Amino acid sequence: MTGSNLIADVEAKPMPFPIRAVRSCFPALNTGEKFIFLDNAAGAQIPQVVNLTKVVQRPGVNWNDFWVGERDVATVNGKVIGIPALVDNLAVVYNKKLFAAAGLPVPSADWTWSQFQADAKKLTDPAIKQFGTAYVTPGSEDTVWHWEALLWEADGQILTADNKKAAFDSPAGLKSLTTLQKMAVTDKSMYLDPTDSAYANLFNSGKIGMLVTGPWDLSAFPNVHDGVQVMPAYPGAAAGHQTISGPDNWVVFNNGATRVSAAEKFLLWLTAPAQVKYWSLHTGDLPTRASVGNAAGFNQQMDSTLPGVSAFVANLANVKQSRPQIPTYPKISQVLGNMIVSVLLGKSQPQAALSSAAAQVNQILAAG
Amino acid sequence: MTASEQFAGWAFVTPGVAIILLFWAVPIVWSAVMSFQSNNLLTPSTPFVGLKNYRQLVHDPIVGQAIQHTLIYTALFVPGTMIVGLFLAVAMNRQIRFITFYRTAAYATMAISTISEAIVFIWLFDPSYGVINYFLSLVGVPQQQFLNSPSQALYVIVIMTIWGWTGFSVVIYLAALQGVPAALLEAASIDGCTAWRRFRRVTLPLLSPASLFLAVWLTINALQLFDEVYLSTQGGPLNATTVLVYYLYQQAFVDFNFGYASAIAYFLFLVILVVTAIQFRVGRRFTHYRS
Amino acid sequence: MTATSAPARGGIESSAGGGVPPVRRRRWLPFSPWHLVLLPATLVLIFPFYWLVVTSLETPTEALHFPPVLIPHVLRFANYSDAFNSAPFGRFFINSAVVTVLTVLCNLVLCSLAGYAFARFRFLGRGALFVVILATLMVPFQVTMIPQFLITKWLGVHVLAAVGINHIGALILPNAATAFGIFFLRQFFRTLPLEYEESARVDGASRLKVLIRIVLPLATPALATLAALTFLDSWNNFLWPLIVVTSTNQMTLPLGLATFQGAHSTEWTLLMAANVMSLVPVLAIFFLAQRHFIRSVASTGLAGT
Repeated sequence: MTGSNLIADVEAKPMPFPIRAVRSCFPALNTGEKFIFLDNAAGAQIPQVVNLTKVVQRPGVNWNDFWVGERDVATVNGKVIGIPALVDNLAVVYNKKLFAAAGLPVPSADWTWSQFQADAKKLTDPAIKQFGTAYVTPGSEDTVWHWEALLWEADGQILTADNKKAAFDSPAGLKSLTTLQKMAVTDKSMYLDPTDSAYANLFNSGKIGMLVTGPWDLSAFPNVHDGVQVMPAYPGAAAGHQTISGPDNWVVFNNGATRVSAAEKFLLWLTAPAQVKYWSLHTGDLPTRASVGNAAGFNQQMDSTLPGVSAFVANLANVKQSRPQIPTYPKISQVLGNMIVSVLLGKSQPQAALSSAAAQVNQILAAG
Repeated sequence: MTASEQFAGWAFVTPGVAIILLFWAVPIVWSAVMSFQSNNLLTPSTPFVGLKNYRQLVHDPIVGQAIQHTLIYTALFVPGTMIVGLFLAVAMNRQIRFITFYRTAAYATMAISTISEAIVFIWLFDPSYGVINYFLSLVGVPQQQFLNSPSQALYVIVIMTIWGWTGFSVVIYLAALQGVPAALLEAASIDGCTAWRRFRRVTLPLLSPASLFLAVWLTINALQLFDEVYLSTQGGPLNATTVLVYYLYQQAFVDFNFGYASAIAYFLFLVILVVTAIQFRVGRRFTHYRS
Repeated sequence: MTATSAPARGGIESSAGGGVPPVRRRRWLPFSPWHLVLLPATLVLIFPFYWLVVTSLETPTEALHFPPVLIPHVLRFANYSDAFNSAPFGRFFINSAVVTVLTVLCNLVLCSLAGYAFARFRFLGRGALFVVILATLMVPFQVTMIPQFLITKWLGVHVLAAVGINHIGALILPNAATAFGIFFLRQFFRTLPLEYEESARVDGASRLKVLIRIVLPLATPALATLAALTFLDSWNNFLWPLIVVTSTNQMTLPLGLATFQGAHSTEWTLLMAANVMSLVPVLAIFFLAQRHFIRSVASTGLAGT
């Protein structure tokens, strides 16, 4: 990389994902780190986090070039606390061979959830232990955000606009949960994975027909001739083919004015269009900037790095909203996770589960 | 107790004890203080909230469930590991061919990392593709959901952890078996005792100090179960495997309620202290030390 | 039951007799029936090792299978060199080795001193102090680690940089003496006959000399066992180094292994190869020390003797 005369000693410390929650507490205890990669809104409460609102308004930064989903996540209570580092989204990855074997046409861009269900049912064969699709059921955020995309597509919301009450206990919530219930409980076309890792290997072994997952999983399927399609939609819903993304941000910590200014300079360089393009093309990570993603020829280049990823790049335009950026979201997520898992395991009916979860969420929000 | 013995005593213990006090005892006291605060680890303000965390603990339904799961787990894991370990130790307590291989294999299981153990068991117990369900199907048992089932998941974890601790149990018992004097066993057999009676009347009582040590040590560890839950079910499905330390971890590092997590930890600490004291009391009556 | 005479060693049956020719029972099988128990049990116990090694030699194509491929078609030994080169593993090995060896040595010294004092000396507060030490085993690390972190940070800033955050010293010092070690050695020392120590004292030796010259040589099995167990613990320690080490240069092996686990995917073949490489020293130590395990645990008063 050129233009890197700013870089003296950047220590990129690899962090196993589950431990990031633990590690993210320690910058608050001042170990001298200048910036860190942070993916939850609670981090915004750390007092040393620098307010970047003015920084991103500087000329040349072009804040609106970042996808709207990213900007939403980087902004907490009106303050910009991070610059997007990574972005992803959910789409459907399917096994072309299995579709052909079942005599099914591959999913088209305007397909619906009913078609998804029907395809999943056709692709399920208990005799050879083949499933149409899969869902992760550890009850964690991974369980929740897969469903939230369906909720949005059904024209639903997680919380009210002021983030004060639950809004998912609605016809949209019912519709989305029932879609999942039908596949998991009625059709039994859905492999339930409580470990959050077996599903990928199963898909790679040709035992699952379709997965709703993100671009990070593409490299885990070397054995499968796969295709990528946007998530199905609900006919008649205004939301159309929406998806959800989980952006991660670079956050700057205040360890002295000179360090802050150096960190800001470095970050602005790192997230400038030229570097974003370089990074994406070389790692297969989706571009955080729309100008890079929409550039002519970019998608073909991405596909040569990581086949199939161009569909995910195009899908970035379908990210219209993001999850509530409030500190109580982790607790809400746990309630939603339990709700979804209990429906998938056939332990409760969607409406009852929704009502019970809404009551709990309202309690959490009221307690603040 | 002479003055020089006093001095020697304190001089000898100080370096080791100082480290333990500084790095372990002080944090324990510190966490007691934190349990009376509201602390989210992110902002520096940690106001005192009196007994609020403890009151929350009493009213928290998940704490009740976690206590239940932890106790059930412990009640199954501790005797299970001891029995399996004792059985294997007795089996390994003879000079047949390959005995060194068998013994080394048992010890070596202590070296395997929890993540490898978790991965293997997740696979073995997979509802669709696991080997266990395959064998069960051969004898006509329908497919079990195991880690996917709120009623079965905890028991799978019991089995997983018994496997993980068997090596340790075998080491302790095998060593203890060396200390059973041959003379006593011979005398018993001359008196006409069957092998099983010899085992019950001579061997088992002589093994009692080892059994006590194992019971105490395994219980202390069982009540603090975390790693295997974290690596396999993450407390699920539907909180079925949420044990106290796992819940504590969630409160501390997912929900950022560190004050509350400290209160839970303190509660657990007191439970462990009481249980261990009871074990020692009861154990004293049943263990026979050679004087 | 059987009239096979047992050798003088306690409790061990021998299918090859001792001095007196044994009366052989007619066997149903050409080998001891215990093999039918031990062999399956052992296979079950070591199965994860097999899986570990097999995965470490597979190609990603075969490794990313579910159910797992147990007999791969293609072996890829290059996984090992790939794993080694993907991160400064040489450095990680050295760091782990330094931390572990020093931790073991410190433990042997400090726990011997303290264990001996708890076993033999009577001093004011001995009982209470021992209980406090045992009690430290009863609080989950998840809670103590934050205060420990803060203490370590303070020490690094105010006392000695080498034991502060992101230094090897911080990995050694908190574990330089463990409650388990003190407890274990105390039990062992209590089973030694007092005569040797008493006569040495009568001859004018200082208590320290008695410990070093008389007691420790008698304690080699216990020391070997403690060394092996401390080695295992220190070598595999993950959570503490994770929060204390902030730069790659100071990382230990478990942290190095964690680099193969990304946010969303894991490079299983490389991870297992690295795992196997990091297991080798532990297994070697175990193999060497295993003779001592039995004898030492037997003598810690945990047995009937």
